[in-house]
Amino acid sequence: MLKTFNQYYKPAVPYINQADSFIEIPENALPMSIAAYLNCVKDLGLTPIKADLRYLILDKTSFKIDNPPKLYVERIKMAEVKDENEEVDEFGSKTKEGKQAESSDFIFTLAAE
Amino acid sequence: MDLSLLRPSKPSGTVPHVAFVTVLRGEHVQGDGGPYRQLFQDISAELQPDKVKREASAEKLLGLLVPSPNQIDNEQIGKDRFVLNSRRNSAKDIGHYYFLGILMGICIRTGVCLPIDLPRSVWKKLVGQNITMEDILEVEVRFVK
Repeated sequence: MLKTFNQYYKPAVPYINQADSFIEIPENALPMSIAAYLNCVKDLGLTPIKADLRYLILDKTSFKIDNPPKLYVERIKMAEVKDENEEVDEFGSKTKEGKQAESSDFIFTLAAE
Repeated sequence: MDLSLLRPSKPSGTVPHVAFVTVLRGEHVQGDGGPYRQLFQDISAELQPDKVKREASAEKLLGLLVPSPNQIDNEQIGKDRFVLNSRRNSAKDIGHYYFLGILMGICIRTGVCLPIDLPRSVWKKLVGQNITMEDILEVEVRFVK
């Protein structure tokens, strides 16, 4: 029975609302749509079908890119700068004490910029 | 930058699926997969510095994520969670949070791991689920008491 159900469920799965709850809709209420009703039986769907849906979404929303962007990171240099600052701090030099972090100190901000 | 450039289709065979090529200057590495995964690990460490690092250099932290009240109070529930820093609300900071979202999307698309310990209330809001009292308890026991 489960197998038969999934046979029909598979082509319909892209149209089913997979959310567990809906913002601004009371918990016990159910929107009047087939997509919402099918959501109630989504637990009967087999995992491979759900995985296929994920890959389908990723595939349909991706592009063929020949030259992907490049991110240059100088981790060694960044670590050296960090070490230098720590050494200076140990000797209590006032020139570098309390130095605020700069965007070049973090890989995250480098990548963001 | 056009964000669609970060959505390449999955290559066939054993070619690593990366959204961008990471060049670690001065380090001799082969292939694109290793540096790419390492980058996300490094970013995760920057976002969530450990306690020793936090105490040693408080002013030199990224500060986008901060330890949850439960982590500070050393509570048993959610003691390893980090929350968004409400004091970081400048336009630049909002841009950084936006970029964090982009990184999360890249991770989902390319199957790489970005280990960040956000409480489940954050993930629930992201997928449109309602937050319960247990979710708040995970962040701040004091608030519920």
